[in-house]
Amino acid sequence: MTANATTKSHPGVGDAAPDFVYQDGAGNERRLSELWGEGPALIVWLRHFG
Amino acid sequence: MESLTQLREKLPEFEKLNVRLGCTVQGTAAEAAEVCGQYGMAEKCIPDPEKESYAKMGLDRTTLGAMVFASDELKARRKENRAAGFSVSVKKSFMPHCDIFLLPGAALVERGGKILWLHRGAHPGDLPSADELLDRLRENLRDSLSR
Repeated sequence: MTANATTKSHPGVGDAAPDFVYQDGAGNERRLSELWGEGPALIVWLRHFG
Repeated sequence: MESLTQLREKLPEFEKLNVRLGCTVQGTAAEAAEVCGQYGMAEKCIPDPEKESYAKMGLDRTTLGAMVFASDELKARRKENRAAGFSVSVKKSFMPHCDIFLLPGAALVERGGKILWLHRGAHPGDLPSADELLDRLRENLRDSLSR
Protein backbone atom coordinates (compact mmCIF):
# COMPACT_ATOMS: atom_id res chain seq x y z
CA MET A 1 0.00 0.00 0.00
CA THR A 2 1.74 3.12 -1.15
CA ALA A 3 0.16 6.09 0.53
CA ASN A 4 -0.36 9.24 -1.42
CA ALA A 5 -3.38 10.27 0.55
CA THR A 6 -3.10 11.47 4.10
CA THR A 7 -5.14 9.62 6.67
CA LYS A 8 -6.92 11.81 9.14
CA SER A 9 -4.21 12.13 11.72
CA HIS A 10 -1.16 10.68 10.06
CA PRO A 11 1.30 12.31 7.70
CA GLY A 12 1.21 11.79 3.97
CA VAL A 13 3.27 12.82 0.98
CA GLY A 14 4.03 16.54 1.16
CA ASP A 15 3.59 16.70 4.92
CA ALA A 16 6.33 17.20 7.46
CA ALA A 17 7.83 13.95 8.67
CA PRO A 18 7.22 13.45 12.37
CA ASP A 19 10.27 13.72 14.54
CA PHE A 20 11.00 11.64 17.59
CA VAL A 21 13.71 11.41 20.20
CA TYR A 22 15.55 8.18 20.83
CA GLN A 23 18.60 6.93 22.67
CA ASP A 24 21.47 5.60 20.59
CA GLY A 25 23.73 2.69 21.49
CA ALA A 26 26.13 4.99 23.34
CA GLY A 27 23.34 6.36 25.50
CA ASN A 28 23.14 9.71 23.72
CA GLU A 29 19.82 11.38 23.03
CA ARG A 30 19.27 11.71 19.30
CA ARG A 31 16.54 12.96 17.00
CA LEU A 32 15.21 11.25 13.91
CA SER A 33 15.29 14.63 12.14
CA GLU A 34 19.10 14.59 12.27
CA LEU A 35 18.88 12.18 9.34
CA TRP A 36 17.29 14.72 7.02
CA GLY A 37 19.10 17.79 8.35
CA GLU A 38 21.67 17.92 5.57
CA GLY A 39 20.09 15.95 2.75
CA PRO A 40 17.43 13.40 1.89
CA ALA A 41 16.89 10.39 4.09
CA LEU A 42 15.17 7.06 3.76
CA ILE A 43 13.59 5.87 6.98
CA VAL A 44 12.50 2.24 7.13
CA TRP A 45 10.28 0.90 9.90
CA LEU A 46 11.04 -2.76 10.29
CA ARG A 47 8.87 -5.42 11.81
CA HIS A 48 10.54 -6.67 15.01
CA PHE A 49 14.20 -6.78 13.90
CA GLY A 50 13.74 -6.88 10.18
CA MET B 1 16.63 -10.28 9.03
CA GLU B 2 16.20 -10.21 5.30
CA SER B 3 15.53 -6.49 5.21
CA LEU B 4 18.63 -5.49 7.17
CA THR B 5 20.76 -7.83 5.12
CA GLN B 6 19.43 -6.49 1.85
CA LEU B 7 19.81 -2.88 2.97
CA ARG B 8 23.38 -3.46 4.14
CA GLU B 9 24.30 -4.94 0.77
CA LYS B 10 22.90 -1.86 -0.96
CA LEU B 11 24.49 0.76 1.30
CA PRO B 12 26.95 1.91 -1.41
CA GLU B 13 24.00 2.66 -3.69
CA PHE B 14 22.26 4.72 -1.04
CA GLU B 15 25.51 6.62 -0.54
CA LYS B 16 25.79 7.28 -4.28
CA LEU B 17 22.37 8.93 -4.10
CA ASN B 18 23.47 10.92 -1.03
CA VAL B 19 20.56 9.45 0.89
CA ARG B 20 21.05 8.74 4.57
CA LEU B 21 19.46 5.54 5.76
CA GLY B 22 17.77 4.96 9.10
CA CYS B 23 16.30 1.58 10.09
CA THR B 24 13.81 1.89 12.89
CA VAL B 25 13.55 -1.25 15.00
CA GLN B 26 11.34 -2.08 17.93
CA GLY B 27 13.93 -2.91 20.56
CA THR B 28 15.82 -0.91 23.13
CA ALA B 29 19.15 0.72 22.32
CA ALA B 30 20.96 -2.28 23.80
CA GLU B 31 18.87 -4.77 21.82
CA ALA B 32 19.33 -2.79 18.63
CA ALA B 33 23.08 -2.56 19.15
CA GLU B 34 23.33 -6.29 19.74
CA VAL B 35 21.04 -7.57 17.04
CA CYS B 36 21.71 -4.97 14.35
CA GLY B 37 25.41 -5.23 15.10
CA GLN B 38 25.35 -8.86 14.03
CA TYR B 39 24.37 -7.62 10.61
CA GLY B 40 26.84 -4.76 10.49
CA MET B 41 23.99 -2.27 10.75
CA ALA B 42 24.24 -1.01 14.34
CA GLU B 43 24.94 2.55 13.20
CA LYS B 44 21.91 2.57 10.93
CA CYS B 45 19.43 1.21 13.47
CA ILE B 46 17.14 3.51 15.39
CA PRO B 47 15.75 1.91 18.55
CA ASP B 48 12.11 2.58 19.25
CA PRO B 49 11.03 0.26 22.08
CA GLU B 50 7.83 2.24 22.69
CA LYS B 51 6.96 2.19 18.95
CA GLU B 52 6.47 5.95 19.11
CA SER B 53 7.62 6.63 15.57
CA TYR B 54 5.56 3.72 14.23
CA ALA B 55 2.47 5.30 15.76
CA LYS B 56 3.35 8.78 14.48
CA MET B 57 3.70 7.41 10.96
CA GLY B 58 0.36 5.66 11.22
CA LEU B 59 1.64 2.14 10.77
CA ASP B 60 -1.12 -0.33 11.50
CA ARG B 61 -1.13 -3.64 13.32
CA THR B 62 -2.14 -6.80 11.56
CA THR B 63 -4.16 -9.60 13.15
CA LEU B 64 -3.29 -13.13 14.19
CA GLY B 65 -5.75 -14.36 11.58
CA ALA B 66 -3.99 -12.42 8.82
CA MET B 67 -0.67 -13.96 9.82
CA VAL B 68 -1.92 -17.52 10.18
CA PHE B 69 -4.24 -17.45 7.18
CA ALA B 70 -1.80 -15.54 5.01
CA SER B 71 -2.97 -13.78 1.88
CA ASP B 72 -1.62 -14.88 -1.49
CA GLU B 73 0.50 -11.72 -1.50
CA LEU B 74 2.05 -12.54 1.86
CA LYS B 75 2.61 -16.17 0.86
CA ALA B 76 4.36 -14.99 -2.31
CA ARG B 77 6.62 -12.65 -0.31
CA ARG B 78 7.50 -15.41 2.15
CA LYS B 79 8.31 -17.72 -0.77
CA GLU B 80 10.54 -15.07 -2.36
CA ASN B 81 12.36 -14.56 0.93
CA ARG B 82 12.91 -18.26 1.49
CA ALA B 83 14.16 -18.68 -2.09
CA ALA B 84 16.66 -15.89 -1.44
CA GLY B 85 17.87 -17.68 1.67
CA PHE B 86 16.11 -15.48 4.20
CA SER B 87 13.78 -16.51 6.94
CA VAL B 88 12.18 -14.74 9.85
CA SER B 89 13.58 -15.71 13.21
CA VAL B 90 10.73 -16.76 15.49
CA LYS B 91 13.02 -16.34 18.49
CA LYS B 92 13.86 -12.76 17.59
CA SER B 93 10.22 -12.06 16.78
CA PHE B 94 9.34 -12.69 20.40
CA MET B 95 11.98 -10.44 21.94
CA PRO B 96 10.60 -8.42 24.86
CA HIS B 97 10.00 -5.17 23.02
CA CYS B 98 8.80 -6.66 19.76
CA ASP B 99 5.23 -6.37 18.59
CA ILE B 100 4.97 -9.02 15.91
CA PHE B 101 1.67 -7.58 14.70
CA LEU B 102 3.06 -4.15 13.88
CA LEU B 103 3.37 -3.56 10.15
CA PRO B 104 6.42 -2.19 8.36
CA GLY B 105 6.78 1.03 6.41
CA ALA B 106 9.21 3.34 4.66
CA ALA B 107 9.44 7.05 3.89
CA LEU B 108 11.71 9.19 1.76
CA VAL B 109 12.17 12.55 3.44
CA GLU B 110 13.81 15.46 1.71
CA ARG B 111 16.24 17.83 3.39
CA GLY B 112 14.24 19.89 5.83
CA GLY B 113 11.68 17.20 6.59
CA LYS B 114 9.04 17.05 3.83
CA ILE B 115 7.85 13.55 2.94
CA LEU B 116 8.48 12.83 -0.75
CA TRP B 117 7.32 9.23 -0.81
CA LEU B 118 5.65 7.01 1.73
CA HIS B 119 4.78 3.36 2.01
CA ARG B 120 2.67 1.86 4.77
CA GLY B 121 2.68 -1.92 4.88
CA ALA B 122 -0.67 -3.60 4.30
CA HIS B 123 0.48 -7.01 5.52
CA PRO B 124 3.48 -8.32 7.46
CA GLY B 125 5.62 -8.93 4.38
CA ASP B 126 4.73 -5.65 2.73
CA LEU B 127 8.04 -3.83 2.86
CA PRO B 128 9.60 -3.11 -0.54
CA SER B 129 12.89 -4.85 -1.22
CA ALA B 130 16.08 -2.79 -1.12
CA ASP B 131 16.09 -2.71 -4.93
CA GLU B 132 12.49 -1.49 -5.00
CA LEU B 133 13.34 1.19 -2.43
CA LEU B 134 16.27 2.36 -4.54
CA ASP B 135 13.99 2.59 -7.59
CA ARG B 136 11.51 4.74 -5.63
CA LEU B 137 14.37 6.95 -4.42
CA ARG B 138 15.71 7.49 -7.92
CA GLU B 139 12.24 8.37 -9.24
CA ASN B 140 11.38 10.73 -6.43
CA LEU B 141 14.75 12.43 -6.14
CA ARG B 142 14.78 13.01 -9.90
CA ASP B 143 11.31 14.55 -9.68
CA SER B 144 12.32 16.63 -6.70
CA LEU B 145 15.44 17.97 -8.38
CA SER B 146 13.58 18.83 -11.59
CA ARG B 147 11.08 21.09 -9.78
